[in-house]
Amino acid sequence: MTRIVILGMICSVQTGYANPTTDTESDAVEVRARRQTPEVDESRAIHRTTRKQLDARQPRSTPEALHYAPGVYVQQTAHGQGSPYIRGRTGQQTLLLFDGLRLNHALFRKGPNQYLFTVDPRTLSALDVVRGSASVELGNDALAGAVILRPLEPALDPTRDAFILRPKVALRHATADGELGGRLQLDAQFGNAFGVLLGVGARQVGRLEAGGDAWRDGRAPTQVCVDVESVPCFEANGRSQIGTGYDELTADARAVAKIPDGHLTLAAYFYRQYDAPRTDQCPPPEAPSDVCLVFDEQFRSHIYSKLEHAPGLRGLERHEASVGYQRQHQRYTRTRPDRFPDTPDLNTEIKNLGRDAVDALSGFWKASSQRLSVSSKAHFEVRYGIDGSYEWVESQKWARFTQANITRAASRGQYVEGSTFGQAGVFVAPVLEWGSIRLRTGGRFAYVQATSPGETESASAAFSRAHWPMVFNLGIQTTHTVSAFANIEQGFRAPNLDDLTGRQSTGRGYQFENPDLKPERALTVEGGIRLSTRPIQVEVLAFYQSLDDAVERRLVDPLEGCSFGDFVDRACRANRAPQQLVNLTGTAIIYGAEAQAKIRLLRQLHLSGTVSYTYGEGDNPAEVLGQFDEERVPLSRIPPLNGTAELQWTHRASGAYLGMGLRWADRQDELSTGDVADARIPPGGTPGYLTFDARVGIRLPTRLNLALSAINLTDERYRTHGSGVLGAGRSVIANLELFL
Amino acid sequence: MKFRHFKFLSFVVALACVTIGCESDDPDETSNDGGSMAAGGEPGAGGEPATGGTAGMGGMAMDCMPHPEDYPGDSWGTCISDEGAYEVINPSISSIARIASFETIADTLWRREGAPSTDDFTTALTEYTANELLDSRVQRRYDSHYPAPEDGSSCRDPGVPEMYPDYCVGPASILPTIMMALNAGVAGEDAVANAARVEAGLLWFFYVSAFKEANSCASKSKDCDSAWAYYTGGEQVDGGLGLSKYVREIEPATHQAVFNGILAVRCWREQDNDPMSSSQPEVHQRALRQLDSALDRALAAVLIDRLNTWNGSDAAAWAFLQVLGPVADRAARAIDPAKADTLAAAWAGDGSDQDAATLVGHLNDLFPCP
Repeated sequence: MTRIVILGMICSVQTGYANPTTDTESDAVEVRARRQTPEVDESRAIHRTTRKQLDARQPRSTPEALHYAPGVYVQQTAHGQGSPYIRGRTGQQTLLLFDGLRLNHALFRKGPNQYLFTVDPRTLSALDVVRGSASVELGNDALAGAVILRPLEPALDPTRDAFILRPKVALRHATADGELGGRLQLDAQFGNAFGVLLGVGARQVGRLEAGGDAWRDGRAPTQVCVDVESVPCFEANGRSQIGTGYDELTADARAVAKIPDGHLTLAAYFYRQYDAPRTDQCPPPEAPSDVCLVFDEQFRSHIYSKLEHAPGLRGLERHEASVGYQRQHQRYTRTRPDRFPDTPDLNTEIKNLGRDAVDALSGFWKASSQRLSVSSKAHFEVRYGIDGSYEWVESQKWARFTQANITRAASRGQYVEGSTFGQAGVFVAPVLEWGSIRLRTGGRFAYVQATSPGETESASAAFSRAHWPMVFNLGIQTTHTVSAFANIEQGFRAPNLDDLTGRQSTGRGYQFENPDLKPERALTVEGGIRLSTRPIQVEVLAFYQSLDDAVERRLVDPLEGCSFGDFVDRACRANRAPQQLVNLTGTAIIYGAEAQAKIRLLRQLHLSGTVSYTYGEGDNPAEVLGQFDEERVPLSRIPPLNGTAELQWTHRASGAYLGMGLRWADRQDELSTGDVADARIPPGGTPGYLTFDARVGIRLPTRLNLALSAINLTDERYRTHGSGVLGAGRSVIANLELFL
Repeated sequence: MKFRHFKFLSFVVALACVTIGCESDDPDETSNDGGSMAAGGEPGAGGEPATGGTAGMGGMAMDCMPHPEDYPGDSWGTCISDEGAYEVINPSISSIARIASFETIADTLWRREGAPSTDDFTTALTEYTANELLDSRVQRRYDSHYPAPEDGSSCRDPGVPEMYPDYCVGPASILPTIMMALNAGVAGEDAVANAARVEAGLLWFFYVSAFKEANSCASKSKDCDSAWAYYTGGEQVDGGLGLSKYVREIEPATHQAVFNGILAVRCWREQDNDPMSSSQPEVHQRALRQLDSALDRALAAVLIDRLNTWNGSDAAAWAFLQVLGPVADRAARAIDPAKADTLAAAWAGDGSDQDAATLVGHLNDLFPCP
């Protein structure tokens, strides 16, 4: 079906429209002059990945698009999922924003999740990563940082009052997983004040081939898995990973109207992923090797409006407001196949089905003042705003017995249906520049409330929890070519509905809820030096974060911990690692260092690189320490020492370029107690790796982009720490974009 | 211009129709008749195991003495089991939940007044197949009495159980027995007999599992805890769930003997305390022989008890015996092939030409002592 859609898109492309005089993605058409990352202060540790970089690197997904960002480490539980770690934290402790609106929702788990994958990277113009707590400006969940996703805009050329169509078709193929996909994009301008960008995309992705050979030491004829506990499992060729592959459809529409002193935007983004196995549960460790958990549907729908206005007033130079609706939906099936397909009288097939959805209304209003002169040397400006969201949850589970032809609903899903989560906050962030010193501060006052109606049969408690966090920050920066900076940031994360109502099998065991969790609070101190010249840009920094009431998983005694009043959760008791989220005693710490450099070796030759180190530890979550238990243990899934390097030569006249990319990571054997039980982490820790990519392409603005990448040239067999799927083996990615 | 506008709008409509995929509908919950009595079977038949031992039909030989190498004994030295209680290695013993699940199924299907309904079978099916519970382990259970496939094949891989049905006893034999009985019960067929088949299938699983876990404890020490749990349900010798509940009520001495076998394994594990390997395999083998012998007598005791219940007429009891009886064949054949053939032929029939006392006699001859 996907191939038909792709062919249909190609056949529907029309020719003969007026060719644009400007490339929609070039810098020549500047729709709005604005600070690069207006959401947070420019003195923060921020890294931007641009559209051009994405076109050259050809990431498979939005999470993979962050591979070369310092301080970011991308984990993939499954082929169709991906989660960025920022300074050792992910999921609930990092905030994802799409065009300023929260992508995070109340069912974000502790640990990696799949939701950033539901953003089509082909709809993005840039990705900004803010490292370090950013709760003052950005609110709840920005404990370790934030990923700010900036969508493509229609090319609204104010100098041309005409009807202009700029169609583009893109085709992509990757040999490692047989990916075949494409995108049809139509950029339309109506007069000089209204533009529309429409896009539809599709791809079909097969099983992902890893590097090396799983069966180096030989293989039994029927063998699928290397051993009973390791994931993933493999086909007979020792490379194709069972439990990978998916289908994907995307659609987006963005209409922008120029209004006096501003713009009004109406946008809609739809992401549909089908039949995506969860690789580490396909099969689960120790289960029959044809058991598989598949996400039949992973959908995101996001509709919103946005007003950007620049009245030019002293206290209100510019402001923007947005309201939106987002729905995240997932439907999954865990199938135990019939083990007697040749026996007509017996069918042992069992399916466990589930559906979860969270609907969210969210919005914000943010403003900034003019840069006001206080004296001849001093200037003052202030940013301020208000934001909020409200979410509600649907969740159900069923068991279907094929031979008996019976479907039974469970009393509750993974979450308690009807639970709600709301939050709001108001912030102010003034900045004072005095000569070459830039001093900033800020504060946020917030409100977070979570409610659940409970569920009697499973003894799921009803509750209503409210928190009133207040956070502040302080930063100083010199504004010379070589500038020094230091920031102190407070962050907070209130427990969400996954923490408070979730009962689910996770990659490392069975997790059940803790309705008594307290918010996590972080204090981040960072300092560093930046050098910013035309040929060289360097940033080196170190950070230290202390976490109070850090949330970690604690293994529980199944005889006691899996009982809820008179109800005994037997799936919890029977799991090899029943766990509950708890607030750690004492203070957990995460510290590290990051460095990045960009050097223009020659006019057309650029070298860049990153190095990131993170270490984290906290009190042992065990209630009673055993003889061999340490009092302080590593935090879960802290990334290892890792880095990247890129070299690119660009021939500006022709648009051709040659490049290479290198990614490496050290071994990670600092494991939490939960990590040890996690099948995605090999016994003893995750080995280090080093991969090389080679790139070549040609970029002719308004005509074509052709990119070819040879991935993992040495065919390294590797996985990023905590991943359930291995990285792609030696392969080729080809992408062709034609402007019509 | 107008034609271009039309094409543009056509594109928008096509875009909306093609790509805004809708969420699938939720499945409709279905059920069976609910509450209807299944045809066939005597109410209350095949219920609680008979109490008071097997005195009425020939029990264990009264002169059974422990083997000189058995635990507890002088040859074992001092160890953690000496207080007579099982000391866990890892407090998180997931197997306990599976025996608890068995108890729930037992209360639903055979420890009850009256025959179970189709809805009861659905409840039992749901319980049996719940995540991480009984079905998850039956599907991969192998019998350590048989050698593992030389090529390294695993019972969890497709096609392997068919090639090695004795070794991969769980997916090859126990699974179809239990699932056929549950599905038939859901369909309203012969409720009491099918309940008895489920009972026998699960006891079979516990019999195999206790020995298997005691064996694999050599490379994974927490499996010793699972061996204990699969026999006792996590209780000490004066308690007992699952298989141990049957054995303790039928032959307390045999129950103690099985428990001593488990304590022997635990004793070895404490003395040979590398959690991932064994440097005293001969001691481990000694403990396994003790446990194996006791489990064989325990199995025989359960069969004898059910033969007493059957006594030539109880169809549900015979259904139970037809499932669990052949389980003793491996051990019986190693002792006396001729008697093993006699028993095998008996279980294969409908029991109409069999005499309970004769079969009990054969079992006592084969397995006189734990």
